[in-house]
Amino acid sequence: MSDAIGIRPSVGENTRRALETIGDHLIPEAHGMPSAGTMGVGTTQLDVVLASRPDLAPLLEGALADAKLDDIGDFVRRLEAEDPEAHGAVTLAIVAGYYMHPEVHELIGYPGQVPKDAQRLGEREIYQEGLMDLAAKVIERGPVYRPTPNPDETS
Amino acid sequence: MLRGGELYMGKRLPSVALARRRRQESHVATKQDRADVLIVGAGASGGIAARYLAEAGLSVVCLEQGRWHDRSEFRGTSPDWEITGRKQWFPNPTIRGLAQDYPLNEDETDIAPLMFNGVGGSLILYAGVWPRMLPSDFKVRTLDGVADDWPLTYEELQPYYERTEAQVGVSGLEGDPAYPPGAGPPLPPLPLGTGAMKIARAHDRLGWHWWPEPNAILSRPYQGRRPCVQSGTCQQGCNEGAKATTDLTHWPMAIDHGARLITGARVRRVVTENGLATGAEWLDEDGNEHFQSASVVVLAANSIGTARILLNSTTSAWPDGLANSSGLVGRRLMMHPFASVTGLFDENLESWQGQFGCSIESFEFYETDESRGFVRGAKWGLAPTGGPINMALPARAGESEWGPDHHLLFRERFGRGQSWGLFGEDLPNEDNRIEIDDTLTDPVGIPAPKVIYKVGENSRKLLDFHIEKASESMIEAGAHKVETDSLMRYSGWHLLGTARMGDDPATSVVDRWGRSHDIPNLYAVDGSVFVTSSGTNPTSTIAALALRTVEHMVEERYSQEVPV
Ligand SMILES: Cc1cc2nc3c(=O)[nH]c(=O)nc-3n(C[C@H](O)[C@H](O)[C@H](O)COP(=O)(O)OP(=O)(O)OC[C@H]3O[C@@H](n4cnc5c(N)ncnc54)[C@H](O)[C@@H]3O)c2cc1C
Ligand code: SF4
Repeated sequence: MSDAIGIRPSVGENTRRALETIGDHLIPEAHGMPSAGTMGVGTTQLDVVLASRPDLAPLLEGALADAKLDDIGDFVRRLEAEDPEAHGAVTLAIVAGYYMHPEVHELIGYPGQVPKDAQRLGEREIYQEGLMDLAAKVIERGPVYRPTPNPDETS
Repeated sequence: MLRGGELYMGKRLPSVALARRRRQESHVATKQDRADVLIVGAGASGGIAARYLAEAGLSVVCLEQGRWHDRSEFRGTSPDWEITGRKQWFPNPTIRGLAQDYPLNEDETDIAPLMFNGVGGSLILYAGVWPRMLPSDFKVRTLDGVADDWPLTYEELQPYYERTEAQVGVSGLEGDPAYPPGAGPPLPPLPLGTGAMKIARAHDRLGWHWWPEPNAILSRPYQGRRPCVQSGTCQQGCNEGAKATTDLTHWPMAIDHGARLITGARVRRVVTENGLATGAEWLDEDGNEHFQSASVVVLAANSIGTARILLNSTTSAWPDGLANSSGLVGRRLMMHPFASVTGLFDENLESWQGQFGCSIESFEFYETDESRGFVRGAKWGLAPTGGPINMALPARAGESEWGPDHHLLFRERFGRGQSWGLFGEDLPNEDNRIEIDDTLTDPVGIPAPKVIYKVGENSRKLLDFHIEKASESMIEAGAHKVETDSLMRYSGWHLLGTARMGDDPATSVVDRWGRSHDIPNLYAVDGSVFVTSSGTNPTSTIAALALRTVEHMVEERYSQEVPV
């Protein structure tokens, strides 16, 4: 996709490390889920994201190349307040890198946007159990529209 | 006036030939013959107009600034569909910034307009929801004492609704008591899924209206197109071709009947002489200037694009914009202030999947009840909630949660949501408008529009009320949590009203047949002609009106004034 908007993605090592650190802070290992850093949001998954969204590279580089991350929470809060666009790029790169990882898909039970077999659109699925009975009750309750007024009343 | 049609090669083109022609059409010669009808814009209304006119034997040329899109370009089958949907396939042209787009000055608007520029127009990214307007929508002045009546009735438009529903292949269920009797959709409804059935049962208990939503999405194979596979990526382009877009449903037929569709062609202005339109000046992708001559000019560039062209077409006779004796060109812009109410349920509803598109609708609170403190109402449409990235980011309703509990919040939300989209009727206000920006231009230097739009008091009260009611619906259905998002900025899906129709030339831009009161061979067929917005998704009405307009144009062709 990179050609689509004609920018070559490139971010340096500092930016990659910062993404990993911030990623681990925002999405840490907990509740049976791995952290964002271990899922490669600063490495392989970042490359996956940038291949589709090369426009993020300069924003990430601008925000993170010289970032001081002594207090990560404070850094993220300040970035959000002072440069919402860069903050949006950082959170998107982390979230996208994480939730596009096949292992994470597996853990959250997400098969991707799989086309359902056309059979799914058989009579049984379309007219699900109860659908026609419920619809009949809507009809029984009567019309809910106001009819077109008589032409004499029209202004 | 109109010459007999020039059949293009007189026969159906095989796909290879079609592909070759598409390539050639991007590089047309500078000098053009006069067409019977020139259409600007190859989107929803442009496609419908072109097909009818070409099939009626007229010579049709369409100028479209975008290009053809092959279905394989759409990202729905790729893991990056959610992130490209936030940039390259984002529906706001300012963020998307593709070569075929034009920029908008959005500094003074509460709602950012959304659209797509290409063959098929905004349909490429639309959700496919295809409800008709209701009878009261056409007569709000008479019934509710607000805004204006349309110069036509639901009953007059009904046959055109039925015909356009057959053209695009609408799926739905006959008998909705929100409408007068008539022919139902040509195809059975799309599956509702577990979440929508829960809400249908809740409305049954509450005694509230609900009905399977009509969608221009195929539930069955239809006219050579494949049915929907529920992949849930409709708003990133449909890879199956199950969602109706005019590049599939109208342009091939129009081209078969001789219509010439010139892509990469940006119209700068409509040219007039002796009070009649003679054609349009346009620029190709390299900035070369061209002129397309025509007997009749039809604007189908959507409510922002059409206003922009008219306002850019000033002359000494028309210093405030062409066909603007009423002063209303560009004014009364309506965009449907929008809110969403998302219910979270305990069970996994796989709500990343299903048409995106709506499953069910409700018109329970659509009509005016003055005790509520506002007039008119909103249509509700129920949609799935999207993929994992959408649910993990705080873009829609709900707070972001970072740290260890991010996983708990994500688990609670992902796949377990159903979302009522609330489209509030947007009352027309002359201050809500399109102007031409002083400095902004598109890539070939054509002045770009500035959007000035404020959400009105009525809309705010209306949405507050509907959010409360939609929350009740979710709770009755068993949602353990309800998240709301009111007045979303990027919700300008529906662009309406900037060249309204009416009988009185002092208070309208076009007449009941879409024809300019001022320039008798200039027409508008897109959403710009809307008098009021209704609270329904507008494209079925745009389509029906476009068909009605061009049918009338053909019927009246012998009395049509044209340049000599
Ligand atoms: C994300 C999204 C979701 C939507 N979902 C729904 C839905 O579910 N249901 C519904 O009813 N509606 C929906 N809509 C709205 C729907 O797409 C529009 O109502 C419909 O496409 C309008 O048709 P139109 O013919 O007026 O304009 P468009 O379809 O927008 O077509 C206008 C065409 O004109 C071209 N053009 C403009 N200016 C120029 C120029 N100067 N020179 C040459 N060409 C030009 C443009 O490139 C474009 O292709 C949605 C829209 C979006 C963006
Ligand atoms: S859900 Fe259906 S209409 Fe939407 S993109 Fe998938 S196949 Fe197309």
